[in-house]
Amino acid sequence: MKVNSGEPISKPDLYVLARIIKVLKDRKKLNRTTLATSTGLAYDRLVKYLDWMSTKGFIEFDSNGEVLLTKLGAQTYDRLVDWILKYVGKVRFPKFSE
Amino acid sequence: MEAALSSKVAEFMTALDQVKKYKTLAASMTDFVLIILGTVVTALSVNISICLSSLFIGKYVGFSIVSSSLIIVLFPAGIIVAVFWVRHRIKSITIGQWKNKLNEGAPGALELLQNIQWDSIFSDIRYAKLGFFLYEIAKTLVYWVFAAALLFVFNGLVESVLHMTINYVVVMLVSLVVVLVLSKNDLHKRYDQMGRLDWLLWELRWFESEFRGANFEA
Repeated sequence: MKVNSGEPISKPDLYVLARIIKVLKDRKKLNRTTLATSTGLAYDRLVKYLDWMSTKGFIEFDSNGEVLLTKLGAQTYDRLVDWILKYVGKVRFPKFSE
Repeated sequence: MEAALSSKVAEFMTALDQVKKYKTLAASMTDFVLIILGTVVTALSVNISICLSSLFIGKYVGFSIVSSSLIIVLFPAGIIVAVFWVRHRIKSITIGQWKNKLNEGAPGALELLQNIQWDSIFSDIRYAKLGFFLYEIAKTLVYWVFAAALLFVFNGLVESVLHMTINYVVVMLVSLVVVLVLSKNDLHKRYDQMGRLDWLLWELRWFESEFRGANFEA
């Protein structure tokens, strides 16, 4: 299903991507309006992201046009968490006294 | 894994909050010095006014006691006010605003990391280090002057009772040694904190260069 005819996203903002996936992970399936509200994104922007995510196979749409997270989408989220942790996890913070 | 990420980013943000506190401490050094200078000016003004008044009224001894007592009260009061003012400024800064964002989980952690103003953080750490050093010097100097003043008063008493005078250089040296011994733990703590700020600076520099150059393939 084609969800957007506007200018496609070339490089997605990882924060936005993570937010969409996180909401879909928690709520299983949502229509686009509710998803826009839950993620705090403008509808048009969300639609562009959904378009990009569907071409990547992270989400799919059911017969009612509701958005579902695919297994690949869930794995991508886990990979993203792992990727951030790979960098942050290496930083050793000193303990400061008051 | 998401909990581990949140915990690590919380650690990260706590360290940045600490830098914010230290930067405020460094910035408070000006206030500290101004309060102390204000106290000195006030004490001198009071002293001069009392001495001038005694010239007109003609009872110097009574006025002299009042003047000395006021100065003895004013100096410690000035130091206490300065130290408490610095503490008040540090306590009044807002920290931990990132906690709500971090409750969002990985997206919140990612946004926090993406929004860090690295140049500002690095400059804050350098400023905090310099401020720490100058603040500690200013504090030690003030305590030294206060200790020396107390020893001079003691010296005056010894002189009037025993007719013995202690050399001024000895008084200054003894007061410095006393202040250094009493502030030993504080000085050591500050030195240690400066080393930790250096450590933090290196870790953050490494992270910033690695994270900025990294590319997540979705």
